[in-house]
Amino acid sequence: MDALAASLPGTAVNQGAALAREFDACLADCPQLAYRVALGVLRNGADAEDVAQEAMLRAYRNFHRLRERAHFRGWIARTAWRLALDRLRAAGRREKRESAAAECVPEARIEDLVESHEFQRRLAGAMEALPEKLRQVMVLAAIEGYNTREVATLLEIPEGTVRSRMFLARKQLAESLRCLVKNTPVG
Amino acid sequence: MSCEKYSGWLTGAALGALGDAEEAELRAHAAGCSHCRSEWEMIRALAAAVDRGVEAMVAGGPSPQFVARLRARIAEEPARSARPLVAFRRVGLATLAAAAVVVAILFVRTAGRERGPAEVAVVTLTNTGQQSAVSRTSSLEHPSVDGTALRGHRAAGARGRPDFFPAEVLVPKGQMAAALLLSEGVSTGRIDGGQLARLAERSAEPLDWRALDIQPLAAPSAGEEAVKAANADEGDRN
Repeated sequence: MDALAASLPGTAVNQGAALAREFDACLADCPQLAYRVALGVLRNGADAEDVAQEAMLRAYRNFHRLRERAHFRGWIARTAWRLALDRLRAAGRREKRESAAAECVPEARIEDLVESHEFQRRLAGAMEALPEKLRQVMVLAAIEGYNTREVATLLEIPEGTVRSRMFLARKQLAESLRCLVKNTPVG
Repeated sequence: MSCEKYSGWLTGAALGALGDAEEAELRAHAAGCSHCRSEWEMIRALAAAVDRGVEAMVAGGPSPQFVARLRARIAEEPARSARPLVAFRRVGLATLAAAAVVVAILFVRTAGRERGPAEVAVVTLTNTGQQSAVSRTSSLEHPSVDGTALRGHRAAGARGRPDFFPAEVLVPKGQMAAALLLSEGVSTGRIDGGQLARLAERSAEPLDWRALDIQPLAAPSAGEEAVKAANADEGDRN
């Protein structure tokens, strides 16, 4: 802890050892949150790590204003989301993914399809096609184990809004992937 | 034919969002319809696969070097002054002090109007364009701060007051410039916190003029007694 305080020269974090300890505590879980949020957008580990680094650095710079832990995690999640989107747009990958997701031909039974790399690729394309608010809730829900209360806290929106957005997101994802599955009537 | 009715319910049912009555009706239908039954099961499996797929998409964590790399970047950050926090405290104190004085004076003024003339000494904060409104008093003009002029005058209760009353406040020693800036901020909707902080730093400096004969103010909780005493004095003089 003190080592961290010593390594953070000349900023608000150095206002006191308590503040340094708080930031140190955030280093235990917030980098993973930032990384996973970025990964949900970018689907590339190296890019996600860069974005998580940038989000944490911004958090450090503003830490003296972001001391409440619940709000801090939400701030990290939202910042990582925005930075990841910026990076994605800058790289011009969005259009490629959407065009890749456009083809949709029934290929397999659901049991076979879900295990395939193709399903993950199609799912990623369908996620890209979701409206941003639905996609954000879906990614955060997956990170938080589909705990709607946690997602509501992170996004600072009502839990009911999270539930309705999650339903819409899962419905749209299922419907967009439905066309890939050959339906075999059961007995 | 009834399959058309239930096809729209299948996704909601698979995602657990269908009402109890509708789900029971769908179950009854699916029991006798292999097509809807298989469709329902397929969508449920697909929804579960979607959840697992999104979880897989965000699984994992940053590399073990992540924190070390972050600390290295933090160490490269340019040193910044701790001043913003201190300045914030000073701004807060100056603002609170000015606000408390305004509240106290408004209380006394209101009480004075209700109970009759009571002599109070005030400092009037007014924009330069409003000076004529209070020029009837024997006033002392203070050098202006950012276009705002300071006037001191003695006002005898409600007697002879002009139609236009600018805000009147008593300002603690050394807080005048901060109060003027605050007053300007209230009227313009813009408060420069940095400038207010700089002005608040002058709180240790003495006032450069002392022409006011300021009567001691009672605390708000003792306001009633103060007004009564003032009224009694006024009665004695009359």
